[in-house]
Amino acid sequence: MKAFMRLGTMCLWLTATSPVCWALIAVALCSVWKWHLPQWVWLWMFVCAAVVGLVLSLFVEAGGGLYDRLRFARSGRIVMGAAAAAITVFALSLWAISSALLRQLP
Amino acid sequence: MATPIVLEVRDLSVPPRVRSEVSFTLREGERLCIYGHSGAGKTTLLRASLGLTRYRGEVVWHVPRSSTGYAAQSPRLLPRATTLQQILWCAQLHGVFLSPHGSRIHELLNGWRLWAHRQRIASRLSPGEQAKLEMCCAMAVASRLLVVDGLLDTLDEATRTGFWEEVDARCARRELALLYATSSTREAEMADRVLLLHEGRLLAMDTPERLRARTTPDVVRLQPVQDFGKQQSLKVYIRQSEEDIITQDNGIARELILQRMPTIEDVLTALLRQGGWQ
Repeated sequence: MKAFMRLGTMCLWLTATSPVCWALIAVALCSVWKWHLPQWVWLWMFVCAAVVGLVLSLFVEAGGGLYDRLRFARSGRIVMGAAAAAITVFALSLWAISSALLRQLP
Repeated sequence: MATPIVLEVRDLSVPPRVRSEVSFTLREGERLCIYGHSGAGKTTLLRASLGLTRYRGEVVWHVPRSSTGYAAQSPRLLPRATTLQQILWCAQLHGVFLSPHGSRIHELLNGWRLWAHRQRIASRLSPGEQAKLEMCCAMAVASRLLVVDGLLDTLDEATRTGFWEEVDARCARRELALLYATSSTREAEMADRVLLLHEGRLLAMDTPERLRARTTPDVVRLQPVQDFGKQQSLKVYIRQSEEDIITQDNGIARELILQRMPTIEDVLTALLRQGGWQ
């Protein structure tokens, strides 16, 4: 559990600090506000943004090094689980905050 | 009783980079060095031994892979993570839980002189500090085997000395085995056994002492009497005896002749000449 929490924190940190993820979220929010998209589409867009941000952080920005580490340590499964949990937490939190904020807008 | 084996490599080759079939056994407390020039296939051989590259042959692990720390040639850093986060997360990927306030992390950061940088974003550290961080991450998880690819050459003198002191102590207690690749003759001399590799071919593998004895390349350093503005020295391989050089040298006076112990590089050069590669 400790390992899962720590790797989940790692994935959450990498997602939340990813500029690509925030750029995609900005695009998603603009689309949501402009075309009055249903709530499940928002959530889906946030999940996609988080997945893209995390994958880029882990496998592109880290220069293939993390892929090497995962293969060597054979810790791919636990990292995948932690990544899924981190993406869910991130997307749901963002969806809750953004839906509350966008409701205030005219 | 024989010392337990940590890693066994049988007839390993990675064509076209490593053409020879390499076999070796690494035992607890042993330090095995893969020595060769750039492009010799050192990294390929190391990565194949770790299962990170496709290979022919057989690699048998006698210890859990998670007990192995691997420091790659170019540091593999997580983006936007601090030095402390890098170490904690990398250790966790290998199933090692380190407390951020524990004595082990304190010891690692101080030992690698990274304590002052623990809250700095790792990708903003200097290349030398990034190399130390990569080594630190590998040391954090290396409970049975440490694999280092070329990074020892880049460490500063103080850090390097500290590293060898710790490794020597742990190897003496048979807690750790070390497998490393280097193109530095100084680092190669620290090994218990040296594997000489050239252009993907295995030239020899033995203890540094036996390698020197097998090739007997007597090396002398000649220093001329006249000083032409800067210190001049000449390295000569003699076949017969010291007398031969003196008589061959057409009366050029020398101040002194020092006979020195051949280095691993001298052995490699001698083997290449014997094999007709140079």
